Amino acid sequence: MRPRIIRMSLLTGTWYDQTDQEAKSFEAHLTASLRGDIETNRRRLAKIAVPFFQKAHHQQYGRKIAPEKIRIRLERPEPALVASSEVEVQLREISYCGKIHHAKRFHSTILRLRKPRRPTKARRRKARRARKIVRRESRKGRRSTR
Amino acid sequence: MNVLKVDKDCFVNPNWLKDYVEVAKAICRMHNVQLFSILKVNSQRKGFHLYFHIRPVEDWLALRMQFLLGDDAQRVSMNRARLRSGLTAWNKLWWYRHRRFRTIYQHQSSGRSK
Repeated sequence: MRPRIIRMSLLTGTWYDQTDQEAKSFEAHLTASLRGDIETNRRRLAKIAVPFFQKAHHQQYGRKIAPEKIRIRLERPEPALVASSEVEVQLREISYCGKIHHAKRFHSTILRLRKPRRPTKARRRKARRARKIVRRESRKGRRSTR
Repeated sequence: MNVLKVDKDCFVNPNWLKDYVEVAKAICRMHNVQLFSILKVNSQRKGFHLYFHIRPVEDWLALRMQFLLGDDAQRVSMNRARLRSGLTAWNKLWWYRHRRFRTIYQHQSSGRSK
């Protein structure tokens, strides 16, 4: 499968900041070029991005944010030349004051995607047994049709 | 930037869409931008998204053209803030899996597809 550029954004809802007297939201924009199914990649990216986003939000505002309050959105994937395990993350704070939006830039980071872990010995054995049963059943089915 | 993304928050008659394609062509001509194709996809709830494949233009012109093409006002403002802050992928438009893209305009000389 060809690698594709996946752009994912993590967003909070808007809240009103009493001290600065403006509406605010916090967002992280991730860019990665990955191979494989989009749904699997989305899950893999979300797994590393959500804790990172929670930590950044906590550092910035001193408030914790629950994972279910984080909105995860994707953009249309585009073809990439090479796949990479590096994920570029850019953080922005969007504030709305005086009829105009302002974006404040924070440090950008590079996260690394972990390789999928090899299943344990017991799990591999279990999967092998399951495959065996499926094969046996299909053979039985073929015989009965003859 | 070689793709313009426009968010429309209403459903319209196919005849209106035909007129819209003519308007889009005129806007591109006005800015000396070559338009290759227009793709349409239904958004999550209340309208549709349009993707204009064009000859690459600079970011500020792309944002301006999106505004001229009738992009959602909130989105224009947010994208402008993102662009000012130096975000490279500033043109955000959410994509939903299993939504079908339909070509509503294709330039005759371009062999571009979805």
